[in-house]
Amino acid sequence: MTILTKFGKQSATCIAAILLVLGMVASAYAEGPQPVLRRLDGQTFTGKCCNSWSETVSIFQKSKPVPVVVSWSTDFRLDPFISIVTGLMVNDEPCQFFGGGSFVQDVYTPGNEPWDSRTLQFVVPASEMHNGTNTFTLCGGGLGKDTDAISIGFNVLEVRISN
Amino acid sequence: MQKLFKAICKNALRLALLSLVVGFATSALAVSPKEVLNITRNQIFTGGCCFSWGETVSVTEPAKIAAVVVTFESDFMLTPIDQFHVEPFTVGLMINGGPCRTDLGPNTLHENHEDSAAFLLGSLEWIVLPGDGLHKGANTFTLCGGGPQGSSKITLGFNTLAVRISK
Repeated sequence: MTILTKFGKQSATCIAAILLVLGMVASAYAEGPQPVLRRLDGQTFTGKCCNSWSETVSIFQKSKPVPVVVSWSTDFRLDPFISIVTGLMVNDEPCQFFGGGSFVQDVYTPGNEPWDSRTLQFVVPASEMHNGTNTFTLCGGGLGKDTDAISIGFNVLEVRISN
Repeated sequence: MQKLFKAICKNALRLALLSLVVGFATSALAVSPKEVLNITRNQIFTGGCCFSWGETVSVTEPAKIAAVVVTFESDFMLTPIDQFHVEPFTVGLMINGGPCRTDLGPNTLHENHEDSAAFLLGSLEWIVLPGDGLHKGANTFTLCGGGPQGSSKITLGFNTLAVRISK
């Protein structure tokens, strides 16, 4: 009986140790946060700032968060003389601005507003994040009327640890 | 019986630890041969979309293929088709020598500017996903593109093409 108990304890310890190591292996390979997003469907956003534009990326922060860089590269088109600003909702908090994010169309080309492209980089300080998974959602809107609109074409959103 | 069990347990643990170490080592050894290209001369490209522009970078993918991010920043100038109009150029990437892909992110180089005789800055970022044709080992990314017509012309000034694995 004593031998069986000892044997049972040993096997439980052994199995626990193997499961622990295999768990580490699995987590190292598991699908985690999604740091990149590629959108190929055209979208138009209308209205004054600020609304969510429903494009989200995420990144995992260790116990002490560090700053991240969020890049957004996009084709876009605007009506003449309209100004649009863009920012980020960090962990679904209200839209904030972390660097330049303005779009302006200052050339009048009636009926034929051309496509252009732009890459923006937002630096998000560590104080805006917590340990674990953090999400970053694109947001923005017009600075003038409720009818201000921006059309975006193919675009990519990416978050990476700043280093 | 107890000895046999101990031996099995010890070896199973060793095997599990080994797989963990090998997994980390594969990621750590992923070093690219040429991730950044910096061009400091003007180049003129003439033609309709799409053809190779001869600028290539490469990155080494580990066993577990990860998405890569390619950035292209360039001074550029388009040649007007008449006094009032400049037509946009399309830009993309050839992945491992494949066809020109213009659906990896934004693809437009255009001048929303009244002075079409000036160099402007274009900045594009593309995301290449594992399913786009990436494989373990070295992967190449070649700039490509073209205009709306065979006579379309673009001048690229100083420019940088860079690739990195998304982490």
